[in-house]
Amino acid sequence: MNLEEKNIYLKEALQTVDNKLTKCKEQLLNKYFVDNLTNLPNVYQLRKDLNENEGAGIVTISIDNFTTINNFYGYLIGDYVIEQVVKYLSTKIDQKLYRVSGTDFTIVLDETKDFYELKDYLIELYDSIKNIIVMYRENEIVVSLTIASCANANNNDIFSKVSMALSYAKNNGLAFWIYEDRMGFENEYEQNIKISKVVREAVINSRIVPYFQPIVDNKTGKIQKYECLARLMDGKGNVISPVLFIPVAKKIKVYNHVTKIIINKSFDAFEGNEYEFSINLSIEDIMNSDIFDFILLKLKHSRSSSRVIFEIVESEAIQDFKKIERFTNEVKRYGARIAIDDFGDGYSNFSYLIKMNVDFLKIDGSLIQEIDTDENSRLVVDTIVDFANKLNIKTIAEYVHSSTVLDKVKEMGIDFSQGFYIDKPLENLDKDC
Amino acid sequence: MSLDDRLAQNNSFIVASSNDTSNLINQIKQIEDNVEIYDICEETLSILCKEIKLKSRNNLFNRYFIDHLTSLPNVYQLRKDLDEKEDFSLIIFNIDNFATINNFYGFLVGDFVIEELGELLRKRLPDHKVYRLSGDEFAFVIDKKMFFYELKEHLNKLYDEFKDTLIKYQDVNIFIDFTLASSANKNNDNIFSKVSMALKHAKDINAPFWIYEDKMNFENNYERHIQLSEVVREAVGQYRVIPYYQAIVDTQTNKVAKYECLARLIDSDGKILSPLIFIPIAKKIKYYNIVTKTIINKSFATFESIDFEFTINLSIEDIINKEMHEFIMEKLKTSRVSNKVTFEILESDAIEDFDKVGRFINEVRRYGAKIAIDDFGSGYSNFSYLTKIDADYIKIDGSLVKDMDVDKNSLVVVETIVEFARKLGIRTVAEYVHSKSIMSKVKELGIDYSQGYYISKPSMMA
Repeated sequence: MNLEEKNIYLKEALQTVDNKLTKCKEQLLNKYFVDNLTNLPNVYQLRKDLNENEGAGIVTISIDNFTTINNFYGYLIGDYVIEQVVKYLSTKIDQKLYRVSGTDFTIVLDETKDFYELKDYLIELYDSIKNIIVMYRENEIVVSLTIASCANANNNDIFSKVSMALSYAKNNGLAFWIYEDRMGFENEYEQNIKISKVVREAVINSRIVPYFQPIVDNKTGKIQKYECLARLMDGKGNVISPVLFIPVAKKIKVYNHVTKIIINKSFDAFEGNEYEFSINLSIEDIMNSDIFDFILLKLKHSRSSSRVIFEIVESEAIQDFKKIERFTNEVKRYGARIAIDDFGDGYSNFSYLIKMNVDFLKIDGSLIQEIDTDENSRLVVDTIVDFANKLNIKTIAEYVHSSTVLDKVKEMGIDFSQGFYIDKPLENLDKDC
Repeated sequence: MSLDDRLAQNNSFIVASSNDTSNLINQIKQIEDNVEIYDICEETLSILCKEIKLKSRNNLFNRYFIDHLTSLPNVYQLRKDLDEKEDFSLIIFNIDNFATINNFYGFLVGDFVIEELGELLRKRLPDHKVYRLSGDEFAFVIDKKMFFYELKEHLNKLYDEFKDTLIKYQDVNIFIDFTLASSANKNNDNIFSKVSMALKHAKDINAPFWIYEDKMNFENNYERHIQLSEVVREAVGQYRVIPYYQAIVDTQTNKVAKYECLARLIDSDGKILSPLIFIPIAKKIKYYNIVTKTIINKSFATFESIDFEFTINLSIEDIINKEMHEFIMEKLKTSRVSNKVTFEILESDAIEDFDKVGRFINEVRRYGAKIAIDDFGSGYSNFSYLTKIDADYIKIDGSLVKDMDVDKNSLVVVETIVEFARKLGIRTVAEYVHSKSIMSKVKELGIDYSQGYYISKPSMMA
């Protein structure tokens, strides 16, 4: 071989090597855009495709019961089910199918549809795919689906929008849901994220404090006790109500801290005086062993245990009534007492009430505030007071906001009053009165 | 671009995609060197090509086990690893608020958060192998079998370590909320299912973590759920949901005044299932509307030919549901017995939209239908609610009635309810009348109607 031949030969050889390497690179790149299990294009491919060509909107189809299937049959069958579902969907759907997550598949629509067209399209789609039956050996595995899409003029944030619609549909057990701008989902999400941050920082810095609202004895007109109400200070001088921050605290799992901070600070506030004071507890607090133990320990070591009243709000069905009974029995050993909060409205179960050995009923504010004008409210309150008297339970009126309401409350024989007419919740206890 | 440049580019690509290929690179470098001395034979090249093929296959193969976004090993790698291990503990780390982050900041930030978090977990947990399983889920494997208390302590520590984890994206602070799950089981069969059930449980009760134990019997729940779903699906499909009828008597005359239609499901073996069991399942698999419609159709059909009043149970959900609302109105419009039906409304949730309920009541009244409040005295059915809803009857909750003869407190409550109803001009029905002594108490209190086993059980025939 002469030099030139060798040269040509070498160039050819290098070309072959180069080709192989290019192919290898392509394969690797392609792999990045393909779902391992189903060989469908994945979420990255979808993003890429939409980036190159906006398309006319997307529809996401999600398997509802996949966790159940996976947990029950194991992941091998779970995988098999996914493969079969893909096969089935491919026969029913003309568009390219993407697998965007474990349970979610997405298609890109070819033509723009307005809300009603989209709705008809989704109804038809749902009907054609709603019951997918996957046979695995002897087992019929039924796969149920939820569908979501977005009927919006533009495709900005389309993934988020469809995902919000999907989670809305799933939460409400709907076959499908279509995102529309006016739903204000984003605001909800935005609000969520902002408040989460405020709550987290307040808990870390112990900026949860009790405010104190006086409760007067209707016979003497004197303050006999205070209700301790949780407030959150956001650090910028704003005082935030528990209605706003408690649900968030629960979600980010700092709720126990909030309860403990309020209990500690309330007990501290009443160590040095003779007032009775009440602290709000939910059924959830009592069911929680951590809080349960914390309260009993507090009662054991505090000098004001015989002056505390726990106001219990029922917001859900009580699952384990024994535990509630144990709680009431235990705290009563230390002289603490029990009140039922917001009685007469919302969830109020008489059969529990009579088992719980309650000392006070706080009549719901929505009834009291109209007691001077509304015949029905008066009738309900009359009934509650009668009933409480028969069972030897003291009554407290909330939301006493005017002299006419106070007069009515006294006339009806309610034992205690609380409300803006008497005083609003105070940042500090008035040491003089 | 010259061939050499492209070759160099390819080289660097191979370096980037796999460390294993360093050998290969050396060989390619050698070829380049050899350009000078023109000493390459065909054989060497063909060996080289084969090698490239093999490496690229390995590379692809490895790719299969790696998560694209975080470069952490993925669920397939985890399955493979666990197959080869005996003693290990598997922990799942699931981000609670990932959908919120993704929906609020967009998926690019979502991806960024996952990448950062993956890196953070890998760095801070050197003695754990970290995997990314799916969108919002990571897994850790420790090469040590931990038992319940050890595991609990460990999860506690992990939770504390990461609980205030913060990912910074430009000037935004994103907090990561998460839930942990593991299994403290002697054997590792179905470990994925076990941990996943524990995770679901932790999420349901909002706990920071949960550890699976055999005695929890999650499997039975899942098994039952799957079996029941089948039963319900089949029965609904074949119209094997039927009403049973229970007599309601006039307390004064002891004569049957009407029948309550109670939903029953007959499974393929002829066994009868109570609505407590099958209604929640029907809701889950989205068959609930069909169940309600079937019961309404069959009950109306029955009382077309029998001259009695009858009652049908509706939930607030039914009333608020547009499809059901229309179905009921259509029924009332076309039926000849619309003036004999009473709808018993059960509240399981707080009523958010009283207007809608009020409209429903007004509309059915036009056809002569009546309204009863079911299970009054428990749940959300309270006094102020009664003043807002214009009911014809209230049915006093069975849990109060059934102990009325022995428990003074129950008696006081029932007395209060009866007096209150009388003041509002609403008639009362006692449920769960199961004995003679209850029956006589019911009479004594002046409750208008009675229903219960002492009078008659639900049966297939009215």
